[in-house]
Amino acid sequence: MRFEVSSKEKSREKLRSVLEKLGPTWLSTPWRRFAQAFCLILFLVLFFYFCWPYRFDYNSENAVQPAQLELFLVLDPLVGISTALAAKALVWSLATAAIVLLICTVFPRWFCGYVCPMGTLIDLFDWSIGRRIKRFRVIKRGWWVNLRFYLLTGILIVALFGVLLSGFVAAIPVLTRGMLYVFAPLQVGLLRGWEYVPKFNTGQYVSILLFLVILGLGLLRRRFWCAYLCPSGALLSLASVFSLTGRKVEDTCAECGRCLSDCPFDAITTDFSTRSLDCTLCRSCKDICPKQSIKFVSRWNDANKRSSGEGVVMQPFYTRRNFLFGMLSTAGTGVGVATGFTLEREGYAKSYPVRPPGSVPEVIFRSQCVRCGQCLKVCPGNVLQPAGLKFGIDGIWTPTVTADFSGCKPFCNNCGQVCPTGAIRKLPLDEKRAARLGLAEIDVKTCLPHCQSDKCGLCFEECAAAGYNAIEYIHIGVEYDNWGMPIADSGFLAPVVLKDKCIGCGLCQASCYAVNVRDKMLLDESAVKVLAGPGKEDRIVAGSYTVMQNERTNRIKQNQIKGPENEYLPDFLR
Amino acid sequence: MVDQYLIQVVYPNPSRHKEGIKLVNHLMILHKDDKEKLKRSLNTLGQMFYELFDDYTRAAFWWQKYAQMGGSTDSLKMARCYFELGSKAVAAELLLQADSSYSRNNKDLIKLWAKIGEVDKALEMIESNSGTNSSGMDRIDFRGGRGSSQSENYLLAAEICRGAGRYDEAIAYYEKVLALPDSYTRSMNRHGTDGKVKAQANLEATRLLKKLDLKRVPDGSYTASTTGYGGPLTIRVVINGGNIESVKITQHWETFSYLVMAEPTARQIVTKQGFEGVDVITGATVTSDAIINAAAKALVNAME
Repeated sequence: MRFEVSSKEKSREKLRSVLEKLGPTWLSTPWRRFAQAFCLILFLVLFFYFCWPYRFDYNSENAVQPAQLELFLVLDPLVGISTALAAKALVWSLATAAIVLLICTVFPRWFCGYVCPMGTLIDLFDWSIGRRIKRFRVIKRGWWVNLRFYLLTGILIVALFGVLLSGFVAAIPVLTRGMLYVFAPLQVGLLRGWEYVPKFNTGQYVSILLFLVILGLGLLRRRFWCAYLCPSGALLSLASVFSLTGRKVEDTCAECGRCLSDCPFDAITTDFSTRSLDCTLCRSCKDICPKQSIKFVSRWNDANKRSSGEGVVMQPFYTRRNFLFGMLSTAGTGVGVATGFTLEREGYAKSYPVRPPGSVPEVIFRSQCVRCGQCLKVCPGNVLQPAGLKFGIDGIWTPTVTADFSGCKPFCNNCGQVCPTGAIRKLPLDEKRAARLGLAEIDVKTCLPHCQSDKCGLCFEECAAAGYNAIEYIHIGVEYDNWGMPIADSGFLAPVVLKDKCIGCGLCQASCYAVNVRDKMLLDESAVKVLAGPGKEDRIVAGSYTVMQNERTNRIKQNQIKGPENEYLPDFLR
Repeated sequence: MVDQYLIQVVYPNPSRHKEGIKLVNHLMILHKDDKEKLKRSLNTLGQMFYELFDDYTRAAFWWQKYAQMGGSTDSLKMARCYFELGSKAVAAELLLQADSSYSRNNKDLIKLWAKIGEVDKALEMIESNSGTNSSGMDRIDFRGGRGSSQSENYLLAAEICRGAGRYDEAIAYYEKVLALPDSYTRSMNRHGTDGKVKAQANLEATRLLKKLDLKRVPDGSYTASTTGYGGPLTIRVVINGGNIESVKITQHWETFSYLVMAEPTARQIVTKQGFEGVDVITGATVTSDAIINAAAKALVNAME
């Protein structure tokens, strides 16, 4: 008798062998790995591809329209909730946060095991580097197991006071920032040229360090960050308390302990039942069990359930007293930190950083910007760069306009479109072109034609080419001939900024810096600088910038000379 | 005070021209009882229409009023106005008056003679002032008393011939410039261009102009570059329905003032539908020539 193998089984065998080569978890839980791979690739594509290459044509109406680049940012529920609390506003990412948390009632902590690209990256690190270095491993649970809840509480308390620190430790912002400061400069440098990469400041090094530390924690234990530290995960855990599905162990369990040592999220207790707060249904334990006793079913399914042993060892640091102590100290620290930040913030707001166009007022901005770095990535000219400590600790990693490096392009409104919290408002192009970031001021002591040392029209040309026409000329040092007539090319045409038209885009500063400071080395600093401050920028929470600009222009027009001369003028001059 | 404002703010910025006219008009009405101030306003109005808008009609109108109040108008400019209004005879008469009151060597005067059609007279005026100085330097007064050289005379003559459509004579003058020793053609001011460089560029362009037949250029948009004052200058010419629809500068390295001064050249190529009679602006000759040369190049390359 010949055993015929059907073609269906043959192809299944082939698939199994392929999956087996990839790894044991690919074989046991292929859907999870596919989902993780898909999400990571999607994240990388959104991050690297859609913002590249930048095609700018002053004659076109549209710059690059990014796709939903902030997709993963808004999927992180901590981002939405903490921002809403801090800014006391209904940010739109609150809606996505609600959806994500709602799904947790059906599928506990689904984000952590199947979607989160940070988690996937940590898995990759563990697989490539972590599992080969055994020196730092910790086997037992330690005092750190509840840290994520403390962090979460701390963040929420501090947010109540208006200070937004979630960006420092929430999963996706850490990821985007890490990618941004490590890989984005590489991308720009390799594909465009190293002179286009802006200089690094302290804040960026801190962020890179944070990112590497989080990855490096994988040396202590697989997915250390996810299991014990990530506050976004803590939030998802809390939402999963009433989940409809869960992990169940049947009484065929042989108590071998393989699942316990293998669980990436440390969700299995010493008596092999589930810590439902931690379990993500990743099913890593399923195929390891030699008795096939692990099932993932609805929470009311108690058939064949293994009974909990009587002698469950309570870890000493898991007592209620310790937990309470931890929470109280977190709360205390949180209040202290928040007060400190709030006091310091008032002072540092006076340093007037130049913010992206359409930013909300400064104090609200600091409560609403989650410091994810997305706007920094999509800015085509790399005008937006993260602040270091220059504007206070509170300002670290917030986007500022560095006009020395480049100017805000008139056909781009990317930053507002990708901001997940609305700290930079989404503006249509015509509004963005009227929104003042600041005001350009020319230093008449250094500007070359003003000093009558050299002809220069860079700022004028840039402003005219961009279509703002906010710089015009004043003719100084005119020489006269013997008939009292001015000699045509005598004197210098010196630039003057028209205050009602200038929106502070910084194109002028960028060109002056690039040519006069860097190339020709005639000046130490750009002669025209964009400055922010009261009266120089438009920072409103709601409303139209074009309306504000029209009002400004009308106010100026009203102050001009009026008279009965109009009827004498020919038609084309009226 | 007002003059200062006009010179410093209004003249350099095209967006302020209209405002400037309104201002002077207002002053004229304001001072209608003060004779001196009224006279000045009338003169200024005429000047502004002439220089900023190329509006010869209105310039003549206001200068007439100025003359009626006893002001003395600039004969050259008035002559230009009358010529543009269609009266060559009156223009010629004014020029003859200017002949006696101005120094005969005024460059603008010579150019204006050529413009109203008396090309030979203009050439004769240049020739009679050449070669009187042994070092090659001669004096043609340019409104301020700067001297000129043999090379500048030849270049002026060539420009006049070219504008009149007498291409062979223009080419001959350019070749004469190229035959001069180098020291004669070097520019006399810091920012000027060497005469030979100008002659070479214009010579090539004039050869092209000889070949140009606008009827053989199909509809479409054509670009070409030449060297302007500060760097390459690119022109785009659009031909539509057999006519020149627009001449635009798409890339340049000129300083703003030269660009503004030379802008009438581009405009005139369109209004005159060709290159005859197109002005080369004194003080921005290199830019104007570059515009003409590039436009000619673009059209000749496009000819079938």
